[in-house]
Amino acid sequence: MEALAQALAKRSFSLVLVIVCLTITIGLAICAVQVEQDDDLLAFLPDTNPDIAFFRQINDRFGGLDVAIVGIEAPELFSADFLGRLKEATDEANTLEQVSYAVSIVNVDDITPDPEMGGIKWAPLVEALPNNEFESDFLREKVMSRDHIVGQMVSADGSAVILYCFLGVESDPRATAEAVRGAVRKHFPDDNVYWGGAPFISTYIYDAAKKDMDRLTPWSVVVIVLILLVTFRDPVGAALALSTTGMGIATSLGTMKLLGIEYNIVLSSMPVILFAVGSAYAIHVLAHYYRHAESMPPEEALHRTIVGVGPPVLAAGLTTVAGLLSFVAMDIEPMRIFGAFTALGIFTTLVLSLTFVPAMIRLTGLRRRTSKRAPRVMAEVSVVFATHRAPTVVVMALVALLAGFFVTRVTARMDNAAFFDKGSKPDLSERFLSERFGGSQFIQILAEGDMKDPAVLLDVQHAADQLSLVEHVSSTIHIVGPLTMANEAMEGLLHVPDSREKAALLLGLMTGNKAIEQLVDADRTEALVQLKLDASDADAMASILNDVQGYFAAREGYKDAADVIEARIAALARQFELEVDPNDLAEAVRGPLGGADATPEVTAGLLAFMGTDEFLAELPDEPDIEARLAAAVAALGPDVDADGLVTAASETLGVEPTESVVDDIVFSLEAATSELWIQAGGLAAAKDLVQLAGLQLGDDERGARILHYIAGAMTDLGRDTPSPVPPVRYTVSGLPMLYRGLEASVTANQWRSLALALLLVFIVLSVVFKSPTAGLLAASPTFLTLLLLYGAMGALGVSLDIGTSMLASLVIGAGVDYAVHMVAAWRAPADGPLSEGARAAAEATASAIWTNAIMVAAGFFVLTLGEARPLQNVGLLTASAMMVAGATTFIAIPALARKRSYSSDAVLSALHDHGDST
Amino acid sequence: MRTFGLLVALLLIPTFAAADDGPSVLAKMDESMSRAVDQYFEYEVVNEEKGRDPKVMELDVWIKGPMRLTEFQAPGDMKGTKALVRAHDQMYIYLPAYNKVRRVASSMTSGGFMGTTFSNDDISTVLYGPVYEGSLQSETDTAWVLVLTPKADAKTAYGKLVMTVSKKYIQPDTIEYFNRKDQHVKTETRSGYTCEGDVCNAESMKMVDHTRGDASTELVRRTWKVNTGVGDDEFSVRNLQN
Repeated sequence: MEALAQALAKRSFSLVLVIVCLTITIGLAICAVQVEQDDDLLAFLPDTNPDIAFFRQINDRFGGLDVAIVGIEAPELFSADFLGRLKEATDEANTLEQVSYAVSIVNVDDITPDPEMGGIKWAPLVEALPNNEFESDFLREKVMSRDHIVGQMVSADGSAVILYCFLGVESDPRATAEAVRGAVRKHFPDDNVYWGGAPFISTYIYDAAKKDMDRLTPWSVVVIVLILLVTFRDPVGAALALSTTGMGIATSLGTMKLLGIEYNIVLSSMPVILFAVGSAYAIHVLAHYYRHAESMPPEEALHRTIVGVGPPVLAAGLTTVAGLLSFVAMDIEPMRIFGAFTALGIFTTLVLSLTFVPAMIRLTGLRRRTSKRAPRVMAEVSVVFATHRAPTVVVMALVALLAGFFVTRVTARMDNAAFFDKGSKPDLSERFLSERFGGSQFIQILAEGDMKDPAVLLDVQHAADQLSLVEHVSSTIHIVGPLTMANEAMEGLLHVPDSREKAALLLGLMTGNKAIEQLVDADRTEALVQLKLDASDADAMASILNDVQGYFAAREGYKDAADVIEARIAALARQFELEVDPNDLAEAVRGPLGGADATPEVTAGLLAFMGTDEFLAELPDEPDIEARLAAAVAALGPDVDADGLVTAASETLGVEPTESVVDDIVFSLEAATSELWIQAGGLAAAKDLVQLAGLQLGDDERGARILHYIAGAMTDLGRDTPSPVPPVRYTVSGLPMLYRGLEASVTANQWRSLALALLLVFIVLSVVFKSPTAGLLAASPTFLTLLLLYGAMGALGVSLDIGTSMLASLVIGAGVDYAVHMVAAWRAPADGPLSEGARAAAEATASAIWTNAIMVAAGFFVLTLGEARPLQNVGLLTASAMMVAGATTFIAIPALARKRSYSSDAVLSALHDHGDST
Repeated sequence: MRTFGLLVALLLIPTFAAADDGPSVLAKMDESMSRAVDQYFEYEVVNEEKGRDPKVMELDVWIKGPMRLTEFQAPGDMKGTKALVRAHDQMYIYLPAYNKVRRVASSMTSGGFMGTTFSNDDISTVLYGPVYEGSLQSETDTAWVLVLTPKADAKTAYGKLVMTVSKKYIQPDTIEYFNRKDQHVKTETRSGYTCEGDVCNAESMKMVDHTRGDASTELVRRTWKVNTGVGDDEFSVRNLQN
């Protein structure tokens, strides 16, 4: 410092230094304005955590995060007006460059049996807009009868719809969210519209934080500047101090640009930190200079200032840099970038405070009078604690113990509340989806196995059905659902295809369907089971997660078809809110079922089939020929084969078996008859099961649908089960697992960064004060502050999250400065009490410490006025912690200091001997 | 299932000329495209989408009058699957795994079949005159540029087509599809025309969907036979199982 002081005494050196600093800063500032923004919130998900890495892997593969969900309230949902607007919005969303596919009830396909012509009818669910009330009612009845649509695209009460917009490959979520919002709002300007799904929510979180930062940072800086002006009462000096922070920001951002690193949302808080914390170094230099300059020539005052305040300012700055550098121990890249480049900004400010600022002083000859009111008050306070050392230490220990107790209650907790407030747009969207569509949170389960193998598909269905019984699981979505529906379309049997070839064919036909791509991969070796949850708070989700993981830990899979059917019926009962005793159901499924003769039903089915276009034979024009043929074929029984059909047909028609009409009959009826027998058997078994298990289905259309689903399940009764069942590996993921991973990451980051910060700070302090004991003394107020901070969090129920995990390092970095200055200025006369050391130190430092503490606190408090939840927590807690850090400095140091001084005589002389009475 | 139809669209060809106004060019083009009695094609269908591996299908297609029969040769899971279209909205499919024929009444369904960029509307429009009014926008030595707008009673998803018609083959070189809001949503390019007698056909038909990040489907003709004499029986439902 002596050499620096001597160099700065030369006017020419100072002039060159100022010019060099300004030139470099201008160059970096030009680069700084070109730094690019990284608005990818997913960058905050650390890949080092296996749960989070797996979550990202799954969503990259299946595109789960690539769906924008638009919920629209619709008092008159089935009116031509609403559906027309929904169609316009859906069509427009489909034309968006960022959207690969948009689907709602107005363009979703509907596949139904065609009883008159035979086969299936494949058409849009809403084929035409209703023209009158009758058509509206008809359409409502049709749509609401599609159980796979209700709860997914239309709410169960028919008062809301969802438009799903699947993002195109590499589409920007923010741009997509804006484009979809624009397209929908054009047609629903005054309706209640809710914006859900990852693109909207991540955009909201980012925008809210950025908006707050953009809006509040200037105010925060204004508050800091005002406090600086009021307390320092020196506009020129304040401007000089603030210029160092500005140059620090320019250096940091300019370097980022030069290194090709993008600016992220956390870095938005850098100006506040630099203005609040970084300006303190120049303030210390200026404050000491002014006091010296009152009684000596400017050159000498400057020399004494640099020699005296240089070491403690350097120590304070380096501890702050250390605190911020501890962020590099985190596994979240944006946080690492924030820590590294904010540390660079602070370091730059520190260097400028000890070079640029003195050089400017040297060139301009600044001077003014100083106030001693605050130092004298604090001096007296400090003396009190120094003279009552024992009780002060006891009280400090008790407070620390109490705080320590509450610290144990601090837990990491991640859920939506960590990111947005109640009443915010995402919260309203979550509530809308929960209330109208059974939830908005999903547990995702990756199933790995051969998805063309019916036994594997049955295992997936079995697991999903059993999981649907877990409390708070409102529905399940998986590939077996659409696959069974497709199988029904092809052969009339609502069950898993019974051969590998059938399953492979159906999956092949579904290729390219965006909704299907979210459920099974292109290789058909992995599938995703989605569990929709009707809860979203952290505790409930943790509980569900435990239940699901516990289920898989104990799962043995299915042993036979009865197990699969039992799970299916139980899931249906849950879906349709039917009361059923599990024991009764288990017994019923394994009891004698379907014993009734199904011949009449099969005969009727054959007769109906013969009237469709799928029956290709031209029967002779004879009375009741179709009925007779149907009866003859039905009489062959369930094990019908081609030979039997030839005989039945030729005998009924009275023709030779070689006649082409017989061949046509066999061609048309062979598969159909077999299917009819299975259908009839399933239906008969379903009726028996309903009775045995005591299920109350109701006599209405809904009851008929449920019976149809049960009958579909019962068609599996005769299905062979391979032994052993092919292995399927299940891995649980989804948002709750992501949150759990984030909790682990946040906790680990907290401890890693805290430990690193403490270690670095201790090393810096021990080196500066040439004593580990002195280093511990200087760190003691910060320890106490941290205990109080985390104790308060524990007592108030504030959880650790990404934002609050930054606190410890910030508080260590900024708060330890106060103790550094206090310890550095500690000087008790050899023949006087130690309390005089407290008085001297407080008089020398209190003004600057409190000015800075208030500045930092005010600057961060302004951030609590925003909408972004993470910023609110960080702002309030940091503001409080800095005030506590200031107070503990004047309590802990006087109470714990045992030496007469901790600095060299040269430093102490420069700090204290101003030539005035003090 | 719409792809089966789309194959038809590429198959009907031909030539000749008259007065060069929009309606007459449109009429000449439709005549040119429906000149063959029957045709047989083998196609490789390549579906490409940004960020994904290309998907390849192989199809055999027979066309006679309004009827067309398509058989999948690849991928393996689809091999042997056949589709018979006998009318615009009526299709029969044969699924070998199920050993049965299923009638599928399909109309105006959304999205492309198996991830292709050809929509139902693209496929079902074999001739343009019945659906669109044509007006001549411009003319060069080698091509006419027609603007096609839907007829009043026509059911089509598009608001406008801008078609460049080759004077040499009297068939489209490019078709730009615009939606009802006049946004350019797709571009179809037909290239590599060759002729068998007076029947001409493109070797490649590529549809680029600009609303799906320029995802594309290209049908590359591997084999083409004209007027093979295939009988109507080949287009019977009963024949699907053979």
